[in-house]
Amino acid sequence: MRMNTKRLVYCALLTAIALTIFMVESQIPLPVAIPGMKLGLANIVTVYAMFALGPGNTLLILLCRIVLSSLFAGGSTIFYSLAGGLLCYVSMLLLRKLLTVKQLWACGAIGAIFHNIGQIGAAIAIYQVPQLIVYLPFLLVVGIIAGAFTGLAAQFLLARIGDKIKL
Amino acid sequence: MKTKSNRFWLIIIGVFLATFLALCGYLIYRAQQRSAALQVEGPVAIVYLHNQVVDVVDLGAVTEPYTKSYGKEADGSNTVEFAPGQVRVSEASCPDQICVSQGWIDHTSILPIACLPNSLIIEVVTTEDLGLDSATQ
Repeated sequence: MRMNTKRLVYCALLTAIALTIFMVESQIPLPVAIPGMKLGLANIVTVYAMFALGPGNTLLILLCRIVLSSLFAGGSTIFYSLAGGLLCYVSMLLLRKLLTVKQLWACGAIGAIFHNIGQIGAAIAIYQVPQLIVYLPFLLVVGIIAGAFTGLAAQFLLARIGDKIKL
Repeated sequence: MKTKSNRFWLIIIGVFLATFLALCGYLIYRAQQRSAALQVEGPVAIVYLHNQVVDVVDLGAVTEPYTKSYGKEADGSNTVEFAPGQVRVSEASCPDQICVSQGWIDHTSILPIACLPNSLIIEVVTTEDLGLDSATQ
């Protein structure tokens, strides 16, 4: 991972965009109330960065986003986001080798699966209440669909600006 | 490695989606079976706060609805309402209010109430789930 000023500024910009998306998303009401369920729109930035900037910078953006967003949101949600985000990141490391730039939607969907597994895993580990696993199928159904669309959004983003940004 | 077609990934993800949908369907079906079964004796609400059981309430013995507050003001608190056979979070200090909008739950509910920001979980189990029978009560 090479870090020059231009790259640093670009990463900071993407983090700011991810945080803005996160704040806007938290204002969107969902029809069903299930704890931990969300659209995960901020993941657009993660998927995009993974393919445009590479794993090192993506990890920085992801960690900054999670830490800052849990400061904004308050409460103890950082553990769930961190576990989900990192597991999702690891799955994307693999997917990066398997997918072409026209298949980013699949990256979003599979990333969402791992994010939800990490989230629920963390909740079960913290509370020691294995019954929480019943949340998983419900989170996954919504997560896969929402993830495919956020991945698709990242795919369009990459197609439009992918080779115009020289770092 | 990057030769797999879009269709390949569509099938993989479609299979996952179908599996989880089926699982959701099964969970909903099982909950309905349970509500169709004979009236259970004493559904019990278990309240977890910060990873510890802080309250066990026999909802069968509740005759008048009452509320109780859990958690300190500083780290966030929830007001829980116990009623005959059911329980809900009526007020919460958390920003998303998901626990409040989950509404009432009883022993047939699929999902326990969880307020992750305040580390509060409420589940309703039957005495059958607890492994007790009428002799041990």
